[in-house]
Amino acid sequence: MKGKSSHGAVSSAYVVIVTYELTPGARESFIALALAFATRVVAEHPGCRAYRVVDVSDRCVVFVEEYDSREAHASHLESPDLTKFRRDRSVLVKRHRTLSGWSRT
Amino acid sequence: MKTFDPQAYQRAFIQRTEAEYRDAFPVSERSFNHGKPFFPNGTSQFGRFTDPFPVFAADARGAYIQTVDGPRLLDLWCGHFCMVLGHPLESRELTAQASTFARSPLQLGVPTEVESKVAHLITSATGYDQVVFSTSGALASMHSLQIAMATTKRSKVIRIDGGWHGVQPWGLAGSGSPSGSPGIPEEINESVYTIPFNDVEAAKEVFERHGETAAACVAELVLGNCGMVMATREFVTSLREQCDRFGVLLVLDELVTGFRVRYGAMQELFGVRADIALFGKAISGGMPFACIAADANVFAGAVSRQLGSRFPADAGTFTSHPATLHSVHQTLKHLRLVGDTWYTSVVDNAAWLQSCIRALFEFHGIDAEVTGASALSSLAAFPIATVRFGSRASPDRGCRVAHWDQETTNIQFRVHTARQALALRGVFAWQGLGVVSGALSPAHVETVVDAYRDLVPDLASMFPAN
Repeated sequence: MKGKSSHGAVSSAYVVIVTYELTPGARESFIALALAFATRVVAEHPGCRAYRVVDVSDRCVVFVEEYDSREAHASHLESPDLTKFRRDRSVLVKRHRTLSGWSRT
Repeated sequence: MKTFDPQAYQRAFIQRTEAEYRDAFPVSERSFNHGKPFFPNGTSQFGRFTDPFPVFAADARGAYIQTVDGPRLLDLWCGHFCMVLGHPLESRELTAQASTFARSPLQLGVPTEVESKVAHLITSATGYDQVVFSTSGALASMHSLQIAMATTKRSKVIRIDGGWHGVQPWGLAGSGSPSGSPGIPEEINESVYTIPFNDVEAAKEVFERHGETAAACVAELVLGNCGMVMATREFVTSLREQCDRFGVLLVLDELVTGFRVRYGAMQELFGVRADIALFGKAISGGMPFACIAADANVFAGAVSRQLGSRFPADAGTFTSHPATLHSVHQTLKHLRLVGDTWYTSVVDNAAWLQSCIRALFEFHGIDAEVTGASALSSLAAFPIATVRFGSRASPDRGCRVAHWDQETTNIQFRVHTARQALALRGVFAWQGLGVVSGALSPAHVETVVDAYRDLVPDLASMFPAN
């Protein structure tokens, strides 16, 4: 059987999927905020390979984030950028859920 | 320089996956080969077949089925979408259900008290006056159309292109489903008219031409056989209006949707009330049960105990079987008890799972479409979905074509290879994804996302989005 063990391929990435359920009418504002934040993260956060904002439906936006390592993600979590993003998004988001793990690339 | 060929990669992936699948499930393969000569399709139920052989189950508990080969798989098929609470013996309530079932008498052929309890619960939850019990969705849907014919004294049927109403003459006639309709008398084939799904203007035209001779218009709120695609409120409202205008009975086949997203009929979310509604799977508790619900005046024109004078829809040796009704009773009581909170949690998990898979496909540039999206603002997602690989989205294609035309989507990969590949990663999927049941926890959602995360490099090579 395959599974998590097979993630240890030669080339791998630490992937985080954050699903944001938005408050009614917040979609455009949230996407604008998210895109600006994503650009900053990719340019300035060490170890972040990709940070994509995926607009999956009217009420839901998903971030797919790819890092070199778990440590790179931990460092992203501690960044002042993220603290500010969390503050700015608070009125736009009803709730969010996070999944993370290793992925073959 | 050699260019990368997605088709060649796909052929190699299919070959590799099938070899690994054979290695992982050898007992299933032996069991399949043993039974193969005895059945015309090589299997006892064609919907359960997976090429080259289906996984055989020994048992099922909670969110998992236990294969005869050893590995247990996270169950996203849930027994034809029936096991909304998961499989028995995982929770106290379900243990009670199993034990009530075990204590229940088998066939008696005389009435039992549980029948009126079940009827009371269904009518209270749906607002219909009366119910007729049946032993399968196909029979219930066939009988509902015959009730409509007896009531209206008409013999034609209007249906939706790509809809599924079981293996019965009016269910197959004009269905355009992969199973086709050979064996259906020509006069029945000619008496069924189809409307393209979600096409309000086409519906008006069909009713203009055939409304005065049609007994019933039968429709689903979510087109199950075409990958769980939801009807729009406008379409369902228009069907109701056209039925009223021409004196046609609206039959909503809620065998899949009923009691799945709320305790009661899903039609309430659309603000529409059918003349006849069908329920079954979600309240069956896994037993062979379906029912026809309608107001007394609809049944009065059709159903009678006086054989010969009316249509005997409630006949049948196994109708109202006590063991079945005990299972239905326990399931209904449980769903009523857990109520909105439980339904919200199931729908939320489904929306979460579907969003994660959609985002992974988008992120990795994979040409695949996750169905199950809601057409209603009051519902986050439908808790059953499929994945159409190589979907070549085109806004003007019909729903049936989008799902079943090999030219627009890779059916073989969805139905067979994806099931094998996901089974190898611990997930028993249906058409690339499947059902979110109440037994599916956030950790189980993660298992499914993990399985796809492991597959995305291969999918990106096989189905590149251009």
